Amino acid sequence: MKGLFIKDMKLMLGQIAFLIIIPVVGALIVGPTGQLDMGFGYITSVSGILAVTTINYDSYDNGYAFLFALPVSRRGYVKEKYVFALISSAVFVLVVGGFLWLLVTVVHPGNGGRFTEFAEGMWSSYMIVLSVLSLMIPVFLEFGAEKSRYIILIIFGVFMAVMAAVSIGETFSSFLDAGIKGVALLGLNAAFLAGSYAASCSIMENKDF
Amino acid sequence: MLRLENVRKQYKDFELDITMEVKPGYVTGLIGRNGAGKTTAFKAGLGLIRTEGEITLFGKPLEKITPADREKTGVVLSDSGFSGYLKVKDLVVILRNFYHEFDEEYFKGKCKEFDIPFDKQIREFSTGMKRRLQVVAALSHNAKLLIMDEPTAGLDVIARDELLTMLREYMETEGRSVLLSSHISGDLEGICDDIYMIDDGKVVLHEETDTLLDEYCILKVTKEQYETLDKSFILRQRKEEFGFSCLTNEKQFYLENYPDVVMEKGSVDGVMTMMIRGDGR
Repeated sequence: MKGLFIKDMKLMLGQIAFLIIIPVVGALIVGPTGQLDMGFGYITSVSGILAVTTINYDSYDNGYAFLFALPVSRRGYVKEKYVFALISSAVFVLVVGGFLWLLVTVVHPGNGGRFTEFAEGMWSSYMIVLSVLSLMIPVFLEFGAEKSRYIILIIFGVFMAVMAAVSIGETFSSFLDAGIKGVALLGLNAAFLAGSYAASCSIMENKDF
Repeated sequence: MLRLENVRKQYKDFELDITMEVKPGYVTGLIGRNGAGKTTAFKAGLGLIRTEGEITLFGKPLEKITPADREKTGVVLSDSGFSGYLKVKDLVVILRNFYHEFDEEYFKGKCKEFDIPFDKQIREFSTGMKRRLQVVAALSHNAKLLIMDEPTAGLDVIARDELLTMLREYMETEGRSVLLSSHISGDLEGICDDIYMIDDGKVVLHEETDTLLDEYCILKVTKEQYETLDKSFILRQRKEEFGFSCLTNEKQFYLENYPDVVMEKGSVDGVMTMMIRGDGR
């Protein structure tokens, strides 16, 4: 797993220009208005995508065949993908989120908000990223980068439509306070991730390369 | 080292059905036309495709092979390689963490010797350079078995010779084995102890290389000579303008009994052409 993790780190750091652009774009989004919520929305969408790009790199040019001829088990590969995605997205949310919070605090002292609000926003962002990853990792492993874009779009469209229809968000918010919501979201995501991991293992173990 | 027994893989328009073995201390060659099933056989042996039948690697069923066992194999694949977005300097760190016995000095030394750049993305490498990198990586961690699908593809004559020399040096250590394929039969003749010829997913011939070169030959006979020829030891025959070409594995018999018949010395190319294009007796 260590070798795979280092490989993914190297692949991610290979996109250094892209990594630098992300907080810059974030600054352009929240800088003028001081609205940190917009920044969190941006971080959430970008970090989910960033965490699964290494899957694209692995599958590019039939790379899986060679990868699984190395000392890498399919289950070990899946495990590493989840660990890497969880850690890298956490670091990403923390670093870019922290940067944007500092920016808003400095540029718009009145809008910066309290640290607890910022921390809650970060936590919510990360929880959404986990849900996104639970969905994206098995889809990317099964269908590859090209087809996955369309599938993810369709799934998210359906998901948003269902959420809007039943107003789950509002109902949920009205009954629970922030602390309980945070823990409940974590539990829900843990269940999603466990199901997603099992699905991903099954996908990879039944694939021919 | 590696054994495939009645291994079958069914695709829409192709079926692999193969039994073969790589013995300890052997360099085993796999030869066949494009699309004959060589790469599929390699992938079956590496567990990259699901198959029927029994595959054992280092005496263990393939499904029980662990990453630690995989460390004992070095692999070159014809249609896959390291991620093109990595650099060789990245690979050094990655391989160090993949293989307990990774010989960093050897790897770096060979990369320098082959002019493989350390600070350039692999996707910018030429085909030959990518191949050399894979070969060097496969040889750099004290593997017991090398599985190499077309390792000489894309290499010039000098680089091919250097690679084959590296393989010979590798085999100087006892207990090591190599399974390799090449479309250049000369490469196989020069290094392999035994050769499997496959066609249409099946083994059409398995022979020790020395036997193939020494005891096989192609008889070039006229129609009249063909009529009187003892065909007991003819494996394949093919109609030609002058009469018939006949493949035999009993060169001595025909040398002694048909001294007037023209004989073409056994070669991997010649035998393969006859085994694939010729008719059975």
